[in-house]
Amino acid sequence: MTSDSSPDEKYPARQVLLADDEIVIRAVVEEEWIDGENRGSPSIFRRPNTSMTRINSLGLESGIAVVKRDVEWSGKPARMLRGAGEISVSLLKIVGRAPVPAPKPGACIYLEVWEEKVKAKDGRPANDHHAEIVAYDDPERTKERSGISLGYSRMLSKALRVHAVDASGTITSVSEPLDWANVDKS
Amino acid sequence: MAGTSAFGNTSTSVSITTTGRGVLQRGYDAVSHFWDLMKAGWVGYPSMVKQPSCSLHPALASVLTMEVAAKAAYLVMASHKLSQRSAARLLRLSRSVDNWDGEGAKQMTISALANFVGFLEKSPNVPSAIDIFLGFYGEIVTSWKLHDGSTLDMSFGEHQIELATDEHDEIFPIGDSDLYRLIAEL
Repeated sequence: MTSDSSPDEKYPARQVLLADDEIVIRAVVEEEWIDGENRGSPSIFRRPNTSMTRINSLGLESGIAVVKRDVEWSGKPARMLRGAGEISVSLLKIVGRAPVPAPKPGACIYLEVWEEKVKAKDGRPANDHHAEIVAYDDPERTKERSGISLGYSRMLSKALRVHAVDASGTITSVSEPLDWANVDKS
Repeated sequence: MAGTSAFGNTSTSVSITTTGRGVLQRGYDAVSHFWDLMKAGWVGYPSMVKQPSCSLHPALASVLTMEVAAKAAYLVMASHKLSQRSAARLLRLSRSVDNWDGEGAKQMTISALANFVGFLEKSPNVPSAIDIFLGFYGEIVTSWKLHDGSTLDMSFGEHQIELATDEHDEIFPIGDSDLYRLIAEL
């Protein structure tokens, strides 16, 4: 979401869809972090238009630095990045549609990831690598959903490869995807 | 009886979990219960009950102070049902302020807390050690393992409780007894 950083006018919203082979990461902050398991909350995808950061050109470490900067930007010392969840666009789509390996709790959802660059605003830095997940009821993307249910959010959370980070942003451990470990390779 | 202390009753207040009552009314009940516990010497005066630091109209300050006190009372009630680690986590999450993720996430609402405590009061089989998170809309999100090793995730919002497992993705209005029937079957 870009509630406190509006899209750059040079890059209108939802003009470019990310390709299936793109890798994106999702910030996981203290309030959403499972200590011990080093994973994110089952509800981290429940919000509308979940923010992601594209890392194909950045690389993982630099991508995490961008995410950390976006979360903990100057003046917001109370926020703490605990990890970054990594996932491919293709796996995101599979989680919403494929019948295996996890049973679907309801009708399929159609997930897309849109480029959504953001400009600097109110002390928050710009992010040219920002993207957003948008959920639809149909593959033609005519019926946008207001959000993602808890059932689908927990499946997406389990599909993440989660990189735990310390206070400096250095990766300290990696938790592999749970139900979805091998689906993306097939 | 909203707004008055039920002196002499130190048992858990069933009325707090009764449906059909306003959240603030139930907050008054929770404070009443907390006052009873203090009188009985079971709990000390909580450091988290603070007067608003800014200058407010006396009537508004009174309401806000009451809400903060009610929140503290609910936290004490939850601590009786939760392990020390889970209770500490809930207390920590209750202190997060609006925009805790940098994307507009809301702080924990008193309604969410009231509904979570009401659920704990009615559900004797909930483990005391559970994972707890904050949701984007200020809801309380929980997660624990079922007997078969799968995970039960729940979200306690202002007006509804969501439940998700590998086979369920459901929303229940507050007070819906079907929720408790379903959990008993899991």
